[in-house]
Amino acid sequence: MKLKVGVFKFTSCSGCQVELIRMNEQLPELLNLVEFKYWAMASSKLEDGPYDLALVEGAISTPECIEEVKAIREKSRVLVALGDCAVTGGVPSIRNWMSQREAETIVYPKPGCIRSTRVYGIDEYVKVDYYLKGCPPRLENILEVFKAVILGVKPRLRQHPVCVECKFYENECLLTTYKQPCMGPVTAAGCGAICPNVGRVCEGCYGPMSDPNIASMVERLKEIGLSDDEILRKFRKYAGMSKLYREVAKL
Amino acid sequence: MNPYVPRIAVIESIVDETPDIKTFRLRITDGGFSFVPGQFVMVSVLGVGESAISISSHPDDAEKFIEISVRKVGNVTGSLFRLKPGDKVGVRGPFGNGWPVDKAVGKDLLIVGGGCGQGALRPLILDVLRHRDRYGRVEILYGARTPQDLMFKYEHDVWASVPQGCLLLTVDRVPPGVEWKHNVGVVTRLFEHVTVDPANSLVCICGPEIMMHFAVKGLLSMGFKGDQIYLSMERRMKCGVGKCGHCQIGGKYVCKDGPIFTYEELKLEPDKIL
Amino acid sequence: MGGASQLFKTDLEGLDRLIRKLRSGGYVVYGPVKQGRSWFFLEIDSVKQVDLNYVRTVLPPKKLLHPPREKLFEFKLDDGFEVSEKPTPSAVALFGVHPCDLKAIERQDEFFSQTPEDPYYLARRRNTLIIGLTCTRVDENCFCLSRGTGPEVSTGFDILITDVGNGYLLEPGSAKGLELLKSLGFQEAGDEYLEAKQKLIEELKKSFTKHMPSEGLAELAKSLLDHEVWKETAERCLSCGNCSLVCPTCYCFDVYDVLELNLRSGVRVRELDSCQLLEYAEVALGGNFRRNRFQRLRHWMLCKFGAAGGGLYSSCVGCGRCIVYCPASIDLTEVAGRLRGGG
Repeated sequence: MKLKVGVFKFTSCSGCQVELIRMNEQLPELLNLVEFKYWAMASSKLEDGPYDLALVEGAISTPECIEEVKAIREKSRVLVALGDCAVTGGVPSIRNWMSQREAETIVYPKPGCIRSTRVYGIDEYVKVDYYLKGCPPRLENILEVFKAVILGVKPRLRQHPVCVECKFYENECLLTTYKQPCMGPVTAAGCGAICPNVGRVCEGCYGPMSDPNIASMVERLKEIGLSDDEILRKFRKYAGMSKLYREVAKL
Repeated sequence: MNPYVPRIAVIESIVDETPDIKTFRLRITDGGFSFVPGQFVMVSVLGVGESAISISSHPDDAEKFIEISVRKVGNVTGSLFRLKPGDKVGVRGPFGNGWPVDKAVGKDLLIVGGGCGQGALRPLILDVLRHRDRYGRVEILYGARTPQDLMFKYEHDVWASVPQGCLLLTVDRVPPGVEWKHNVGVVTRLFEHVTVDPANSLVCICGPEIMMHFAVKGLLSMGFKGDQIYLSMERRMKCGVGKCGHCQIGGKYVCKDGPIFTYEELKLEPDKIL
Repeated sequence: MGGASQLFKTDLEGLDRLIRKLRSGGYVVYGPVKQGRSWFFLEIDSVKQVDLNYVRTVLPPKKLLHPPREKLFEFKLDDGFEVSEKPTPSAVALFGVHPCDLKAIERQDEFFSQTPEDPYYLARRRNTLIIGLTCTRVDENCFCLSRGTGPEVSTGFDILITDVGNGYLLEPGSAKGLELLKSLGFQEAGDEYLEAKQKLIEELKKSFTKHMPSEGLAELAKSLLDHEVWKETAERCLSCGNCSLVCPTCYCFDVYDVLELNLRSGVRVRELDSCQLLEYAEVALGGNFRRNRFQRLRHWMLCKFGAAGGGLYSSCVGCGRCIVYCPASIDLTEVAGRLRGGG
């Protein structure tokens, strides 16, 4: 029996689904194990549930989305938040720090028809079994979830900081050696330290690691010269709505 | 010999002990196996991982089989629960030291078990049954959450009939409609019934660390000394052979210095509840 | 040891010949190379790539003996399963290893040789030739002198190179090293080379500013588990794991299985782990005996002071990496000082 999978999208850029499509040579192998019953980006043949596994991309930002995500939960045995937007609200959630009207006016020429709510990750409304962090999550992490759901075990998605992976690659330390504002020490790993690998600071896209020392991280960023406002934006950028960052992000 | 590579074992039979504990009888397929009571093995479900699990059978049977009694708590144990007789698992070991069976010769023995900790104590109890003359008085105290959570129920009559000994059972609570004629309360409540002589006895304890903490406190106040109290400790292990570091309690490796320690050995170490 | 054994001398070109000789003998040669602002042990084919005045690399040469990630074995799940082990490693020569790192390798050698032996480490180690290099300078984070691990070293190398100003003194530390030096036709060095080396060592000894003497430290730290320094320091600690990941004596690892997408075959992997990470001491059902940050920080420092399960094997050699790469500027020598009653 193949795993019946549905892929759904809410407020997001679709980049997480693109990461899934990018799988290329592994796709035939995956298709031996799973059957995509619903994946609008990949096929116009859309079948209703029940699903063994629902991958939900995107943040919840309208009243309609709330009802839809609840309906998906009803139909799905295992529900996975695919990517930051679904995990915490992600980049779209930065508009929570301005008035709704202001955000709508910036984006839409005629905001009158827009009905939106505060932006949340999907677990504000439904129970989430596993979280695929990242903007986007690395394919390896997504495949780990497929395998784990098939085997009936918890996926191995480690929550330790990016520094661990960064050291495995023996990158120069951007924070200590270059005094650059790298979010590695508080950010969950899984990305494979791809930004530090090319000499760029970790932007924190996997959101908080298991037990970030936020107060100390703020001090470190101050030490290297970041202003309070810059620090605020560092924490808000990808995961300001995460429970661990809400305080420092001044929600 | 590569200590990281498991041997293949076939599951011969499976006994449902409690709603979340099963005993697996394993036959090692490639030759002999020997161990002492209290030792553990690393059990692999390849593709899922490996867990440290105490051997719950008696060493005399090791040439034919070993048994492990497993509580379903994570990926490996959960996957074990889905296996059937005839399926294969990986086994490394045995590892660790073992209960002080030699030191206990001629002495009274107090055996205190809590929850699935009873699995590690069963080889010791079986040793008492098979070699009764080696030990003095033997008292077994065993507590679980509810009557349904007691392991080895099919053997309790035999344990209770040990000459010069007793089996005292207790549970935290009795669900409505369940018949229960033994004690209710934490296992340390049974200490008032203990009659072994603190001056000439050893205590062997295995259970949740918080239970062992209270047991040690009670025993010390009854006059037992720290070096008479043996505790089987549990920590996450990745290798079982003193390399990976995970099971350290301060300066001790649970996998090779233990898993059985006297309270005296551990009392000054950090990062424990004891 | 110097007096009894044969000593040789050479110039930069001679060191280059040594590297070429090793390469033609089948060794992959690694040496300290500067990239950006940091040094790394990288594969080299000439001494010109090497910075003989380097201070410390980001990762210690441990990465080539106990790599951050390695396959323990492959498995196939068919009827039951079958397990295959990995092939033997290629020969590696480590060129330019400083005394602190030499001592660390010696400790890892002993640690992994304990029964049961670690076949992966030892197979790699047996295929490794080590060419040590006496430091030419000491920076503000070096403290090998107080650890008894440098700047002078008499074991742990096949050859030891010392820059004595007008040439290089080459001391063999093993039969293999001696044979290699002889085969290259290097001239014997006179006493003036040894004297020059002694002078360099004395100069180096005077330039240490950081100290963390070993004497009694393990016992002292174990007796001060409730000292306020642990919690105070933990307030700054990010639990990022950098200190242990760059440490030349930290050996802890995680083990996990990676199943192929066919769900029929896979590998068991070991990966360097850090006791600073929350997940490290997690037990079944979410329990954790080092849930608090200070407990993890204390465990690591106790380990470096020689008071954890690794004893001397995992204790500090004074290389300074954990201090350099701590984003929160935590300095274990300061913590040791506080425990000793200073500051």
